[in-house]
Amino acid sequence: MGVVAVGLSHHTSPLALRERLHFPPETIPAALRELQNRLHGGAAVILSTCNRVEIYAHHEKDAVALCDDIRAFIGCWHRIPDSEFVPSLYEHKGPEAVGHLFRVTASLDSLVVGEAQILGQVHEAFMLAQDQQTVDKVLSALFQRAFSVAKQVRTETRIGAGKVSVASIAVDLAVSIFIDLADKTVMIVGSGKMGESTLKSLLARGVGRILLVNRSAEKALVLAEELGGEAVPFEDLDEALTRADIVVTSTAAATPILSPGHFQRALRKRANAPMFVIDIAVPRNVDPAVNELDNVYLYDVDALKQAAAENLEARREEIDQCLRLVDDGVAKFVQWMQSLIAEPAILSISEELHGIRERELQKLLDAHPDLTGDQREAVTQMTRRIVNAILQRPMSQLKREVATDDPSFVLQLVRRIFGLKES
Amino acid sequence: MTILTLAVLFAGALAYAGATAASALYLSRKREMALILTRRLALLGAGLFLLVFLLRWAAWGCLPMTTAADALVVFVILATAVMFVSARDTTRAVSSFYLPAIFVLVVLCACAAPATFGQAPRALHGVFLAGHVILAFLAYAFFLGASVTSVAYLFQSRHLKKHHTVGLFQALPPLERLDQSLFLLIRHGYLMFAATLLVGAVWAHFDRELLGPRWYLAPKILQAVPMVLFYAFVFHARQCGLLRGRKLAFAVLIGFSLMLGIYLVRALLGLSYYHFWESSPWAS
Repeated sequence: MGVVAVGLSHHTSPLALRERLHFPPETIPAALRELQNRLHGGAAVILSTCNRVEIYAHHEKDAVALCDDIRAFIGCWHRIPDSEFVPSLYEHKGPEAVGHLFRVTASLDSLVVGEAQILGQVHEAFMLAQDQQTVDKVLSALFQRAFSVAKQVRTETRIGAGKVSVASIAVDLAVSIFIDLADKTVMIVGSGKMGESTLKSLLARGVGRILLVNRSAEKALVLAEELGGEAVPFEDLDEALTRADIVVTSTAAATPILSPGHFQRALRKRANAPMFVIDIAVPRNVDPAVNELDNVYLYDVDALKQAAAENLEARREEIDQCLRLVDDGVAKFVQWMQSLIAEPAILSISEELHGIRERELQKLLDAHPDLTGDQREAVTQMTRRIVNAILQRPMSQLKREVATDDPSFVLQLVRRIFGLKES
Repeated sequence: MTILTLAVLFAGALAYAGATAASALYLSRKREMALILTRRLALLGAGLFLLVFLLRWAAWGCLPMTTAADALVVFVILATAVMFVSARDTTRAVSSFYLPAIFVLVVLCACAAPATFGQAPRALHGVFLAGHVILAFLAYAFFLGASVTSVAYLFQSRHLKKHHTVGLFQALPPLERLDQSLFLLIRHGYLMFAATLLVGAVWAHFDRELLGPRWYLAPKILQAVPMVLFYAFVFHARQCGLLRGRKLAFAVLIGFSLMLGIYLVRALLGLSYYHFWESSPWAS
C-alpha cells in the first residue's frame, strides 16, 4: 500500500524544533504544490499544529522512496539540514500510517488525550488539500474513514468525558449540580484573572444573572458594565449570597472572607436550594468547613486540580477500547484498499459486457427502424439495467475475494473466464 | 394453564435477571450499550409479567392481586412502569439503580409462584376494594422509586462532596434533577397513599360485616396511618424547603426501610387481617 505518514510530534521532538518545521496556514497551499511536483504526482495532506507536523501521502511508487522524497522536501522547504530534524522524524507506511492517522484524528495521540480540537485541525488540513486538488481517491477515503472512526471513538467511549482545565471543570461541575444555568445566578467576589475566566466560561454556558462584588465599587462597576451584570457593594455580601446559586471567589484577602455562618444564613433564606462555590483564590477565600454543610459544594484550587487529574486518568483508562475501534477501522480500510486491485479487472469486464450489449442492441434497432425515439431509449435503458444487474453480484464478490484471498490467483482466474487481456 | 403461566413468569424473571446483570455492568463500566440493554430487557420482563397477570385473570376470572405471588407480579409491573416514567431522557441512568431492587421482588415472586399459582386468588369484592388495592400498589411503587432515587442522589452528592467526579458520576443526572425527581415521586406516592386510605375507609364503611366493627384498629391500619403521616411530613417539609438534599434522601430511605420492615414483621406474624381485635384475648 502506497500510503505513508511522515512527521514529528510532541512525543518525539521539542517545541523549538516543531516551531522551525511548522507550516503556517497561508504557506500550506504552496507547500502542497511544491510537494506534489517533487513527488511527480500522487496525493498529499499537510497537518501542522502546535503539537505536530505531519505529511500524509499516497503514491503508486514504493513507500520507502516516498518517505525519502517527503523527508527531502521537509528539509528543503524549511532550509534545515537533515541532521537537525531527521532523528526526530517518524515514518509510518501502509496500515501503520493508516492507524497513525486514525489515532491522531481520534485524539489518542494528543498531548491532552481526548481533546476535541485535533479533529477540527485534521479536517481543516484535509479541506485545504482538497482545495488545492492534492487529494486522490485513496487519500480522500482515508481521511473520511479517519473522521468516521474519530466520531465513533467519541460517541462509543468516554474519551472526551470530563474536562481538564480549571474553568471548564468549574462549568462541568455546575452542570452536574444544576439542571439549567439559564435561571441561575452567579456571584463573583473579587476580580482575579482566573475568576474572570471562570465567569466567562459560565457565561458561555448561558448562566442567567451575574452579581459582581468587590471591595472597590469602581472596579465592580467597570466589570459589571463589561459583562452585563449587577455591581454589589462589599457590605451587601450577605444579601447577595442568598441570591447566588454559584459563587466564584478570587480576592487577594489573606484570611477567609466567607465562613460557614454566611452560608447557613443564606441557605435558610433560600429554602436550602443547593449552592456551588468555586474558590480560586490562594490563600483561600472560603473556609473549608463550608463543604461540610448540606447543599453546599465547595471546590478550591486543589479540588479542581484533583478533578482535572481524575478526568485525565479516566480518559487514559478508555484508551484500550478506543484502540480496538481504531484497529477495526484500519482493518476495514486495508480491506477496501485491497479491493481496489480488482478495479481494472472490473472495468474490463464491464466494458466487455457493455460492448456485447451495444452490438446486440444496434442489431435490434437496425432490424426495427419503425421504433420511435422514446421506444429506442427505453430499450437501451432496459439492456443497460440488465447488464448492470448481472454484473453487480459477481463484481462485489470479486472485490471481497481479492481483499481476503490471494489477489493474483483470483484476478488471473477471472481474466481467463472472461477472456480479458493481461494488464 | 398453570404451567404456561409459570413458564411465562420464569421467562420474565430471566429477562429481569439479564436486565439486572446489564445494570450492574453499566454501574461498573458505564457503557451506554449496557444501559440500553438494561431498559430493553426490563421492558421485556414487564411485558411478560403483564402476560402472567392477564393469564391469571383469564384462568380465574378475578383480578389476581391477593396472593403473595400475584401481588408481587403487579408490584413488579408497576415499579417498572414508575422506572420508565421517572428515569427517562436525561435521567435514564437512574434505571440502573432501580433494577437490583426490582430483581429482589422478582426473585421473591418466582419463589412464591409455584406454590400459589395452582389456586384461585381471593376475589376483590367491589370497585372500592379493587381501587384500594391498585392505589396501594401504585403508592408503594412510587415509594420504591423515591428510595431508589434517594440512593442515586446520595451517591451523586457524596461524590461531589469528596471531589470525586469521574466514572458513574458523569453518567448520572444533575443533583437538582434528582432532587426534583425525588420530590415528584414522594408527592405522587403520598397522594396515592392518602387516596388508598380514603378509598379503604369508604369501602370499610360500606362493608362493615366483612371487616368487622374495629377494622380501624387492625395492625394493617395502625401501620398505614403513621406511614401516611410520615410521607405527609416529608412532602410538606420538602415543599417549603425545610427538608432538602441529603437529609430528604436519608429520610425517604429510612421511612421506606421502616415501612418494609414493619410489613415483613406483620406478614411473618400473620397480622394482615382486619378482625385482629375481635379474635384477640383483649376483645370485649
